[in-house]
Amino acid sequence: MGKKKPFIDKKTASVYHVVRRSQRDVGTEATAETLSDFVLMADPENEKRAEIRRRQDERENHTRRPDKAKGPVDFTALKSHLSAAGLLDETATTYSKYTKPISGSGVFITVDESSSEHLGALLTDSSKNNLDTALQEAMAIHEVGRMLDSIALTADCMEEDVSRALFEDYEEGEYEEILDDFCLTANMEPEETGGGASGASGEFNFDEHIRLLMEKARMKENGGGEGRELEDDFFGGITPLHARIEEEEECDDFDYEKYGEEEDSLDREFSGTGENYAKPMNDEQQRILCQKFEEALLEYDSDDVGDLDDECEEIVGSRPLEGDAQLEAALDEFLTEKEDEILIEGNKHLNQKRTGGSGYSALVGKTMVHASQLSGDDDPSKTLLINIEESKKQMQKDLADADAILANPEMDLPPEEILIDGKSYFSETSRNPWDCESILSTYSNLDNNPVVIGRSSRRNKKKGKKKESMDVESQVIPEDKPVKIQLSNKTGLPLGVFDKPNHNSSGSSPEDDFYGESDTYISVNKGESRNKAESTLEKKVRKMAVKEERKICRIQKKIMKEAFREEFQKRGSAEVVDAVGGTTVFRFS
Amino acid sequence: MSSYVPPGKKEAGLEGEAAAQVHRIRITLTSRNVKNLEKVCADLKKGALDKKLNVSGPVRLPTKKLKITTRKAPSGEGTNTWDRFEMRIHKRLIDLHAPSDVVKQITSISIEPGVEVDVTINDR
Repeated sequence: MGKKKPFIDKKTASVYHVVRRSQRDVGTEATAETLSDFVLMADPENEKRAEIRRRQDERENHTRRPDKAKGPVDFTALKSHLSAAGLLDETATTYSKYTKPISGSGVFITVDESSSEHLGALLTDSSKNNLDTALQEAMAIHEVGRMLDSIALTADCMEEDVSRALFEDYEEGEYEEILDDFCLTANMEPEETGGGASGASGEFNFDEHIRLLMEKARMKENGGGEGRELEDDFFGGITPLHARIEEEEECDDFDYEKYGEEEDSLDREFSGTGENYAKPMNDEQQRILCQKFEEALLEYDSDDVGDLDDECEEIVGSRPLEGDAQLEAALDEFLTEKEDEILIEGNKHLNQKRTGGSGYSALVGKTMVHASQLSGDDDPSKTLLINIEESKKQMQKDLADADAILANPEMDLPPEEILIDGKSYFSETSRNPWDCESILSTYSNLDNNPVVIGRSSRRNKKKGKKKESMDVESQVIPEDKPVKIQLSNKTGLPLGVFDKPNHNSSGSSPEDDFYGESDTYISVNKGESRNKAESTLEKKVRKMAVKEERKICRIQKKIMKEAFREEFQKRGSAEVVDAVGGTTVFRFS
Repeated sequence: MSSYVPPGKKEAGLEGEAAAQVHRIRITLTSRNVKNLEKVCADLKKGALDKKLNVSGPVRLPTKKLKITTRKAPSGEGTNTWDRFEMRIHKRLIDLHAPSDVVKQITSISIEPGVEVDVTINDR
C-alpha cells in the first residue's frame, strides 16, 4: 500500500473555532430570534494557510512570477497588472491623500542618495555657504556708540556743586584739576624737607615727622598760650622724673638717640621749650626752689606730729599717767581688744604659742584656776597650799611677762612652759611624725611587709615547726654510726630529712610516714616491664599494689585541696580579691 | 477517504456538487469532561446522519493526562507528603463530507459547556 492521503491537509485547511456568541452581537431584528448561541470564528493563521495554498496552486498551475528588476520596481505597471486581474481594490485606503507635499528650501534626500559622498557634496554646495554667512553675521561684533544722550541729566537730581560744575561756568582755579599722572606722582618718594623729618641716614624719620605734626596741632589749638609764665617758671628748667630715673638706672642697652627723640614731645611739656611751656629758669632761681623743696620734705620726715608747740598751747602739758583712770581704761580696752584678737584668730599664725582669752588661768595641780582666784584661795590641805603658793609666784611672774608681751605683740615671745591658755583647742596638736608604723611602712616592700605582731597564729605554728626542724637538725650524728642516706626513687630527695618529728593524729601523717620511710617498698615502678612468666598470685599482688598507690594519691590530693581551701578562708575574701594567681600580693597591717 | 454517493443520484449529486462543493470537514471535539463530550459527539453524528451526510467517527484519540505532583506543605516543614493532581483531556474527531452551508448548521446544535469544537475545512 502506498502512503495514505490524509483526510485533511493541515497546512492548507481552514480552521474555525466554535465559540459562544458575544452578548454584543445582537444582529438585526429579523435575525434576532433565529440567531444561534454559537459562532464560527476563523483562526488567525488561516491567512498563512491561504497563502501557502495559493502558492501551491500557482505552482500547480505553472504560473511564472515576473523577475525582480535590478532597478527600482515599477509600481504603475504592477498596478495595471493587478487591475487587469481584478485584484486591485479601489476602495482600499490610500494614504497619499494624507501626505503633505514637500515644500521649503530644504533638499530632500532619498534613500538611494543617502551615501556619504552625495551628502557631503550636497552640503558643500549651498547649505554650507548659507551656514557660514549666518554664523558670520551672528558673531560679528558691531560697535555701538554710547548713547549718553539717553541719560537724563537735570540739575534737579544732582547736588549743587556738581550741577554748577556741569552746567555753569567756573573759574579755572576754582576746581583742582586732577592730572592724569596723579598715581605716578603719588608713588614717587617725597622730597626731603628741611632735614627735620629725615634723619642722618636719609630714610624717612617717622618720629620727627610725628613730632612736627603734633607741634602744628598744638600751635593751632593754643593760639595764645603765653600767659602761663608763673607755672612755667616753677617747673622750668627741671629735668623730668623719668629722665632722672633713667640716668640713675644706667642702662647700657638704653638707646638714648632712639628714645630721646620720642620723648622730646613729652619733655617739651615739662621742659618748657614750647609756647605753653615753662621758660627756662636761671640757676639762682633753680637753687632757691630746690632749697625750699628740701625744707618742705624735712618737715614731713620728722617723727613729731608737727610744729604744734607754737600754735596750740592748750594741748601741751604734763599729766601723771599712774592712777589715771582714763589712761587705765584706755589701756585695758586696748589689752582686751588684743586678747580678743588672739582669741578669735587663734595662735596658728604665730610661731609660738600665745596666750589667749580674756583672762589668765593657771594649771594648779591638775586643774585650771583663774588668775583672780589664785590670790585669795585657801586650800585646806598643806600640800595644795604649798603648791598654790609656789604656783602663785610663778603665776605672778608669768603675768608680768604676759603683760609685757601683750603690750608689744610684735616682739618675739619667750617660750611658754606652762599652758596657761584655757582655750587650748585653738592650738594645733603636735603630732610626732616618727612613730613605728610610719617608719616601718617606709621600709615595706613585697618581701618585707611589717605586720602587727600577734595577729597570725600561723606564725606560731611556723615557729613551732621551725623549732622542731631545728631540733631535728641539731641532733648530732655520732661518727661511729654513720647513717646511710637513702634517696627516694620518685623524688630523688634524701629520705628522713623533711620528716616531722611529731606524729600527730592526723590521717595524713601515718600515710606520709609510711610513704616516706618505705618509699622503695611501696611505690610501683610503672615503667618496669612485668614478668611474663608471673603467676596469678604475683599478678594479683602487682595489681593490688597499683591500686593502693592510686588510692594514696587520691587521698593526698584531697588533703592538699582541703588545706588550700582552709588557707584561703583564713585570709579572708578581701585579700583573696587582691590575689594574683592564688597568692596574695599585699598584706595590710 | 472518498465520499459515499448513492449511484441513483449520481447525476443529481454532480449537479448539486457543482452548486455546493463538498468539503472535507473535520470536527475536533476537546473536553475534560467525558460525559459532555460524548453527548456532543452523539448529537453531531445524529445530526449528520439525519441529513444523510457521509460521516465517520467519532474517533477517540488517546486521553492526554497532565500530571502535577507537588508537596502538600507550602513550606518545607513536616512530613513529605505529595499531592498528585491530574487533568485528563479527551479528544474526539468526527469527519464529514458536506458542503459549506452544512458547516454553518453546526453552530445550531447545543454544545455542552466545557467542550471545545474546532472545525477544519479542507477547501479542495
